[in-house]
Parts: sequence; structure tokens; C-alpha cells
Amino acid sequence: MSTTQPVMRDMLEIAQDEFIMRDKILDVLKEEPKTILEIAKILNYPSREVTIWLSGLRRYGFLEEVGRADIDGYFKYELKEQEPEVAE
Amino acid sequence: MTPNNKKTDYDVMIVGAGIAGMETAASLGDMGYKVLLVEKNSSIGGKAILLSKVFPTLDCASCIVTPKMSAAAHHPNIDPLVYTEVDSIVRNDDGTFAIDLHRKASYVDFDACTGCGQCEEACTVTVPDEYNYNLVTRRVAHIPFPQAVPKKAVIDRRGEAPCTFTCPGNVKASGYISLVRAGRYKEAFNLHLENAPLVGSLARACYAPCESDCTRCEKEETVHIRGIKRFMSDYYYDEHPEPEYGPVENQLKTKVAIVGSGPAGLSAAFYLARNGHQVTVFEAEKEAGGMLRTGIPAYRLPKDVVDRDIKNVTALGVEIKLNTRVQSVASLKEQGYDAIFVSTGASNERTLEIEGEDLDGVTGCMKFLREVNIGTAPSIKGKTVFVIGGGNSAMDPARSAIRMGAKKVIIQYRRGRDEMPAHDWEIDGAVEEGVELMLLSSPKRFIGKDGKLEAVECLKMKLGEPDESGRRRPEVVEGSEEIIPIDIAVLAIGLLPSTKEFTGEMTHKRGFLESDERTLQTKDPMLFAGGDSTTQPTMIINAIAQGRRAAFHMDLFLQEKPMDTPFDILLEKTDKSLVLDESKGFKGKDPVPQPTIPIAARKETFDCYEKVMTEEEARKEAHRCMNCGECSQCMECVSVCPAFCIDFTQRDQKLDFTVGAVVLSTGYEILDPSAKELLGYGRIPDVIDGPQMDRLLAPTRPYNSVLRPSDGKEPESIAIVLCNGSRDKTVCNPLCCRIGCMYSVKHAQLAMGALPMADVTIYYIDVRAFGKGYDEFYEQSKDMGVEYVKGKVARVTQLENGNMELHYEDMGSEGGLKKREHDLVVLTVGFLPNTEAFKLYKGSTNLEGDEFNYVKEIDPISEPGKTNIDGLFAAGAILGARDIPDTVLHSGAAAAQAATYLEKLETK
Repeated sequence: MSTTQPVMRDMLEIAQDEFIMRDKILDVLKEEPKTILEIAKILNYPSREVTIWLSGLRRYGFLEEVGRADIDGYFKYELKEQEPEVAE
Repeated sequence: MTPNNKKTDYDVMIVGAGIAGMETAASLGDMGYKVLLVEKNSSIGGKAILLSKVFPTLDCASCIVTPKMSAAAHHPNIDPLVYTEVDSIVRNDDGTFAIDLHRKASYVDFDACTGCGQCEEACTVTVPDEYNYNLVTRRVAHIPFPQAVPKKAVIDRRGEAPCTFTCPGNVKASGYISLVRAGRYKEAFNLHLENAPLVGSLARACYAPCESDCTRCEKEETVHIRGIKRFMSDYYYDEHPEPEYGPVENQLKTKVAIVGSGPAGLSAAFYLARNGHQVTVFEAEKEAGGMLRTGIPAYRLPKDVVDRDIKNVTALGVEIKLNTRVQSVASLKEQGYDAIFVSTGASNERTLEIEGEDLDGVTGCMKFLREVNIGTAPSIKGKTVFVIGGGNSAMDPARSAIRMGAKKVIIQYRRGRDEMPAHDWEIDGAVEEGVELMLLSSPKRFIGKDGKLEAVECLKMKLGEPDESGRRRPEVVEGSEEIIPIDIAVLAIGLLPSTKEFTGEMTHKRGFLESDERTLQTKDPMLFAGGDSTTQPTMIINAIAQGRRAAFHMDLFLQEKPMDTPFDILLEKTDKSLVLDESKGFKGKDPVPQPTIPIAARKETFDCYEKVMTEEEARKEAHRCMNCGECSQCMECVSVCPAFCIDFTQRDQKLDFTVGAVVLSTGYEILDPSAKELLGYGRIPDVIDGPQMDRLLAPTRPYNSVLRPSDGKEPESIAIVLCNGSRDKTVCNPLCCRIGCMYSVKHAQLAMGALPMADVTIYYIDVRAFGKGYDEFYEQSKDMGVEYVKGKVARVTQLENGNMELHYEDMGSEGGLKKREHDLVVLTVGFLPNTEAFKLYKGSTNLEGDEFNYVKEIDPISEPGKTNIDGLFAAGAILGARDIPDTVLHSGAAAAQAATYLEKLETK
């Protein structure tokens, strides 16, 4: 269950945080797949904002959802295997 | 079928390429008319292509709209012109129309772009994604949506970031900052190399004009750009003690001589060698670096950093001949050089021309610093050092003297503290370290014994009227003489160019070499001059900028290319007020304190007093950047684009056409439900509007499933609330939106399909199912289990568990005020007229609007689509809210009207 959200920050303000939060979210997911709520709790950020950042990570291929939503309706997300960088 | 007797470029121009525009264009194109289809966005398709499905058939919106997009894009009689805005439409006397347009710079060569999206993935600036109605983010380099036609990337640029614009070298500070923020340090370093090769030196000793112009100054404090650069260069140099590159493959036979290995010379050498020229740098000193080596104390610029910076240059095959003073340009010409760059700097000291200046102990600041830097300075332990001057060059010897153990260090300046030209932080640093300021004081004479300095006689000064520089002129206070015992006097009152070797060979102006300001070419075409030897002594970055400028023009000269080829092509500086406005409510971001070594420790060491930020600190500080220019110019898109189609030299392009007729089809606006404050939109994350729900339900949805935005949960109980801001005079919108009921029924059906376990409730006053198949569609939703509650929702509140509570008036059963809990609330919002359309027509008569601010259809029954301007027609929702079938139908009518007009025009 989500908790009462703090005052909603402007979308642009949240967007500007994405590159800083990206590595933090990826770091949290290193060990095992987690739901947005779990990630938000670990990082101590509003789950709405984590949803936005996580969607960006998913969009650009850094992570993916695991199977179907759990009984409470939450998906777990895991790191997506990255293609090895081609040597320059 | 262009009107033969009229000179028109197109038969008809259609403005707006949504459903109405595409349909009208296709109809007219099929009739044989040449159509110009203008769209302000980078893709045609309008809002319809963003829909999930269409009602009442639940056909996939993409399946309905993309064939129309494709037909419009590829029709032989239709020229689509995307990313283009109409500036004016004026009706000519002969019935044709004069059109002014501008094609917006996309910074992408559309002909070459394959739509691969790699630029978007590499982009380092994130903004809200308007194509997903701001549910998620996108990058500033972006393809608007997967079905875009044309599927081409565009890059948002508002202007040049002030930091980049202000930097004399146009170093892309916003670019490397965004790369550091993204953790791409190597890329950040390499980006810096594109504008200035001496990254480490600048990271420590640049006076950072970029910071003075940082927009963040208007909020808390500048982004500490130099500190970020310091982290970036230290990180890179730690990882790469040697450059990763060698000489370029394509070596040319052209030989270039550079006189002086200061920042200007090294910079010129770097860029010339990168273009394949054979470069030799001549340096009179025993070590390269010029002022960086001898003029800046090590506590600001450690010499191992200079060494590493120089490796950036020599790795390209540049030869530096040390201990080699060039005596004449002629000697270099004799050696067969094809071009020469003179950058000998300005290290000759100005003198005071007062008594006792020749005493032992009176020295110039450059001489003093040189001896300190090369280790030949005599001990000044326990002595009194008297530095004369108020500029930055006075701070360096004074602070050096403190570190060398001087008993007392005084800076004397003839004006006041506020008038001192040195940077405040330099003065503060000096004072913190123990330097005393003697202000409003000037030396009258030096006093010595046996040829050795013993004292200085000073005069008190007062400030008079401002001089030509605007600063108040210092005036002597008569009878104020005072004698101060000192051991060493350092004159830091200005420098003169070191150009005496070239007297007679090159033209001089007050001792400075003369060269063209833009090309740095002298009267002798093969001879270029730049850096401090041509300008007043300035900052390192000025000299580096001059070196790059010289290299660019020398390359043009050597390769016999036009010398007027543009050098750095910049946009206008971003209007900071735009950046500040959009970030008005944002939480402040306090600066990361610059780590320094304690003051007491500083006094005993020439070690750099500024410490490098940690990785976390640097990224946090980089995160304070406000992305003023939108695109940061990090150039990652350029690096990854396989089609080499990114082109930052693109500019908006003005176009003008004459057309036979015009059809406006600029569509509608969507009402912002935050105007209905009690309903919680913009305040409660799981209160979304209809267009957002459409995106959640679309196959190209922003999330992996239909999820609520607050926490990514699949909703179990969805409320759809009809009529928010439509039929509502409180938001000045008395009209029915005509589509809300049906698209809400569509949402309900799709949600039930996507989330079989979810309950969907529609709150309504009445349901208008007036079109063919609409009532059946409505009844079908009931059969599927959608619950309809007749009631007016007055308020939405958020519960402790995060769900929403709807407060509504029950109008369907027992009545009264009721409450019900849901975990997603969708506000069905209506249309608003797009009033921008009225601004487009600039003839003597205004384009008429109706009482609701839609474009007025003069006779909707007998002549649909006709406006009050003969030959100017309107199609679709620009005339009033309507659904897709009605829009298609109306577009056909508008096309027929336009065709009739064109026929009449031809036979006139």
C-alpha cells in the first residue's frame, strides 16, 4: 500500500533528478528484483517520483518487470542484461 | 491543377496535420491539387495518434491514424512540412494568399536520420514527456512517439546556455556538467578537449567567467563549474596518466611554427595537429607552459598538472623545442614553415617610474613568481613583502610570500576595497591567509641603503570623480607621506607584451602585435598572432580561445579554404527569465561546499589549497545545473549517431509561399483540470485526466501495464468522473465536449479488458451517446460490469492508505451526499478552442470567432468550413468539439469548399 504522498513536485523538477537517481535505483536492484514501493522505501523518495524515474530506466532498456503483478498489484523490476560495449 | 493564371507555389496550404488536416489534404490531393501541409510538431498525426483505441469500434488508434499519416506523407500531391510554424497569412487582392513560415531548427538532418533513436538513448538531459501527457519523462533529443511520421529525431534547444555563451572559449560547461551528472566522466573530459585542451590547468586556475553568468546565481549560488571540472579532469588524469590517442592518421605535409608555448600556443598546436598539420612549438624557457608554468603559483596550479595537460598536445605529435628563442619571423620562414603563429604572451613588467625602483629588493610580480615557480627565489623568511597593485596578479605574489614564510605581507592599492580589480574570493583568500590590505595608498618612492631596499614612502589617497573607466579617480592627500620599512617590493601593476623580437617584422599597436580580430591573421597572410601578445593580459581561457581561433583560421589558410568560413556558431544566449520562471516553485539546491585545506595548513605549503570534490559531491553539484539551454550540448548524440545527422549549425529557416487557398485545421486544446482544485488533479498523484488514461491504456503506454502513477500498482477500483470543466461556466467552458462520455466508456471497457479484476465506476450527470453505435457501445459497457453512478462529484480527497475518497451527490438512488473509495481517479476533461489560430491571419479583416472562441463557420449548414475570409477555410475541431468520424466528415466538406474556391480562382 502506498502511503500519503508529500506535496507533488513539478514534473520538470523530477525529470531533472533522473540522471542522479538512475544509478541509485540500479544500485538498489543489483541484489534482487524489487517493487517501486520497496525501492522508494530504501531510497527514501516518494514512490510517485520513483515510478517516473523507473519508467525512464525501463524505457531506455536498463531494467524490466519480472513476470506479472503480485497479489497486491505490484510488479517487481530487475536489471536488464546489457549488451557488452563494443571496444572502441 | 495550379491556378494557371496565378503565380502560386501551392494550390492550398493546410495548417495543422491532425485528423482534419490529413484528411483535407488527402481529399484535395486526390482531386489533383498541390497541397502544402504544415505541422508545428515534428510528426503529423495530431492528438489522435496518441490515443489507445477509438470508439465505438475499439479499433486500434494507430491502425486508424497511421494509414492517414502515411497517405499524407507519401501522397504525390502533398508536401508535408513538419516542425514548421506559420507566422502570417495574408490574402492578396487577386484572391491568393501570401504565407510566411519558419521551419524550426531540429538540429537533425532529416534526410539522413534513420529514426534509430540512438541519440535519444545517449542524451543526458531529461524533460517531461508531453506526448505521454507528462506521466513520464523523455530526453531533449527525441523522436516524439514510436509511430511518428516522419520518424525523425529532433533536439530541443532554447538557446545557448549562459555558461557556454559567456566563456571566451565557448567551452560547453553545460555539456560536461550534464555528462558528469550522468556519471560519464571520460566523455565529459573529451567534450572539454573540443574547446580547450588544457583541462587540468583551467580546472584549477581559470577565473571561471561561466560561474558569474550561471542562472543558479539568481537562486542560491552559482553552480561551482570549475570544481566540477576539477573533479572531471582529476578523475580522467588518474585513470589516464597518458593520453589515449596518438597522432592523427591523416597527416598533412604542411608545416606550422608556433612561437611560445603558453596557453595560446599550446591550444593552437593542439587543434592544428588534430587537423594533421606538422606542428613545432618554439619555447624560450627550459620548460613549456608559459604563464601556466612560471606565472601562476603552484598552490593554484601544480606543475604536474601542467605537464599532464601538455601531454594532451604532444601526444598528437607536436614537437616542442625548449630553450629556443625565436629571433625573427624571417628565420622561421627560411626553415620552410607554411604558417606561423606568434603567441609570445605578455610577461614584461610595467614600472612605476618612481625613485628607488632600481634598488635591490624591488621586483616585478612575474619575475618574483617565475623564481618561485622554478625554485630560484631567494628566501624571504621573516621579511616584510610589499605588493603594489589591486588585481589578481597582486594576489599571487602576496599569497606566495605568505607560504614562503614572510613575516608580513602587505598589498597596497590606491583605491578602496570595492574598486580592487581582483576577484573577491582571491582577496578574501589572501586576507584569510594573513595578507594585510593597505587601501587608498600609493607609493611615492622606494628608500634604500647601499643599493638595497629598506622602506617605501607612501601617500594617502582619496577617491575623486570617476575616470574614463567609470572608477573613481584616486587623488593624493597632500602631506600624508608615511614611511614603511619593507624588505621586498613586488610591482603588480600590469604587464606588457613580449614582442620585441618581432619589431619591424610585424605591426604593433602600443607594443601589442596587430592581427585581425576574427581570424588572427596579420598583414602577412601566413603569419598569425594571438594571445596576450595581441591583447591586454587576460585570463588563461582567453588565451586558449585565441589559440583555437588561430588554429581554425590557419587551417583554412593552409588548406586554401575561404577565410570567412564561420568559426564557433552559437545560438543567442538563453533568456534566464524563462529558466527561472519554469523553476519558480522548485526546491532550492544548496551548493556543495568547496573542500579546501585549513588556512593554517595553507600558509606552510604550496600544495593546491582547493581539494577535489568526491564523485558524489561532483555529481551532486552538477545536479544543480538548471539546463538553461535545454540541450546541454554534451554531444553524446553526435558521438553515437550512425548516420552522422546531428547538425547543431542548423538555424530556423524563413519560408514564404503564395497559395491559392488556406485551410486551418489546428485542432483544439485540452482543458487543464487543475482549475477544478477540489478534484485533486495536480495535487493527488492518482488523480489523472482522460488523455493520461488513454496513454495508460495504449499499446505504447509509458508503463509496463496499466499502473497508477503514485506507486506503480495495478488499480483495482477505478473511478471515471465525467464532465470536468466542460458544461462548466466556472472555468469559462459552457460547452459539452461531445466526446467525453464516449471516450470514458472506452476507457472503462479497455480498463476492464486490461485489468479483469478491477472495478470501474463512471460518475455522470448524463451520458450522451448520440452517434451511430454509441448507445450500443454504452450498453455493452454496462453488460461488461461497468458501474454507472448518477452523481455529481464535488471533491476528491486522499486517504491515509494513499487511495482516494470521492465525495459526490447521489442523484440516482436514495440521494444525499455519499463517499466512495477508489485507487485511481480519471477526470474526463473537455476541449477548449485553440485560439492560436486567430493570430495566424494578419489581413486587414480579422478572422472571426464565435461566442465560444472557436473559429466561426459563417454558414455551417450550407457552406461548412467557410470562414469570414474568402478563400480561408477551417476544418475539424478548430470550429468546435467533435469526434473523429465527424472530423473526417467535416474535413471532406472543407476540402470541397477549398476546391470550389480554387476552381473559381482559376477561372477569374
